[in-house]
Amino acid sequence: MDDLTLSVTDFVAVFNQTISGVYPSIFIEGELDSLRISKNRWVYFNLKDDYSSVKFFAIVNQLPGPLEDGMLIRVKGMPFLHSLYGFSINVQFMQPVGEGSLKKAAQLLEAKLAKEGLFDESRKRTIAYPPNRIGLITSVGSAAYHDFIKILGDRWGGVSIEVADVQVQGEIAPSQINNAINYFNSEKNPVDVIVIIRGGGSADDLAAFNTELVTRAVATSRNPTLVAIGHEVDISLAELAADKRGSTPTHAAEILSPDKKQIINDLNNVKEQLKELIKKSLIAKKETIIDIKSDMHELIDEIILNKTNNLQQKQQLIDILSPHSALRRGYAIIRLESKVLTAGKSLKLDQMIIIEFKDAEVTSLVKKVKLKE
Amino acid sequence: MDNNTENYETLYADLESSISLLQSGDLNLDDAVKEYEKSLKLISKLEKHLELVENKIKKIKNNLK
Repeated sequence: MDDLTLSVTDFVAVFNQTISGVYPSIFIEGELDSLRISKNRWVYFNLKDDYSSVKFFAIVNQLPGPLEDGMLIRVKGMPFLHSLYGFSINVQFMQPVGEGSLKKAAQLLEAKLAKEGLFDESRKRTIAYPPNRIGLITSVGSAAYHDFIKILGDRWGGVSIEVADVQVQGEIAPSQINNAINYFNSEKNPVDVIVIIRGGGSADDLAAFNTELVTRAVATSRNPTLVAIGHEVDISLAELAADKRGSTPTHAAEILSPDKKQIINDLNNVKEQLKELIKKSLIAKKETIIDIKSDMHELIDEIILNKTNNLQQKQQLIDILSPHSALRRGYAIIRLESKVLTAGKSLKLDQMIIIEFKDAEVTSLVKKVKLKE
Repeated sequence: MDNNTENYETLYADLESSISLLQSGDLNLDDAVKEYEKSLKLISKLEKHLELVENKIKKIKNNLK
């Protein structure tokens, strides 16, 4: 039997067909080498290990961020034999792996974006407190989602929450998060804040939040952003780019809203204080009335005292002017036939007069009447 | 939802002005007692609002993939 003989072009086609049938995607991890970006569009690099090196090809927006030779990278790609340029692997997804490389990648990206001013404090906006409408980006069903919804509900009511259910780790996370941010930014009636949350995890798990795509989307978001990632490792770049940062999803809910239990407590305190205020006012009023009453009593007493004194004075005067007083002083009252005489001119000889002294009544006869000039 | 929050904010603002009126001491006793009763009503409304109003959650339908 003849060996199968193909033309070069046919061989390329058969090879690619075979390979894509067996390995539509393949995951390869290796050390980044000879990274080169051409025309700001095409990316060429190798992944190598101690014994081998394989060529890769990518588009620039597939880069998670700036990368450096020597970093450990994990690539999902499709092996491909180019009709002219030889064999390489077409990248479908790529990401640094391992804490070291992830950290390095984050540092490179942070430097690049910091230079552009994306993390500047002056760019940070204040978030409505509390917000009326929230655009929430997270994995529904995760503990982070439940914690946030529960704590927010415990603390505050009347908030309208639109939820975008996304992957928060893995290959499609960055583009889903980016799309969700764009969605909320394009709404005619914008939300007050876009909240992006996830729970803790390894550096690998959190990698999406250190990609250029997500970090830029957060930094340039039209709506204010709050990013809260529970973690024990370094702060992610998405958190640095956000207008506000929470240390956990629970903390994010606490940042956004007052605690209604606290407010109800405060209101009760206010009620008590107002009660005291009114009580004091009433007591003060009462005391004022009591004072007035006592003043009036004093006044009346004074008036009575005055009148009494007055009366006493008059009494004394009457006393002094009374005939009895005159008698006591040694004067006498003269009567003629029981009529009191105030003058002697009308007396006749031998008339009988009664002289009343203070101690006796003397009957006498008129002997002589001599008129005074 | 906006109505609810507006109501809350309006109620709160009314309460604040009521309280500062009472604290100013400018009111005579009759007016003070009236204002006090008004404050109590506002506080009661606020507390009811806080206890009853809940959050609304809606998942967006757009395909984000």
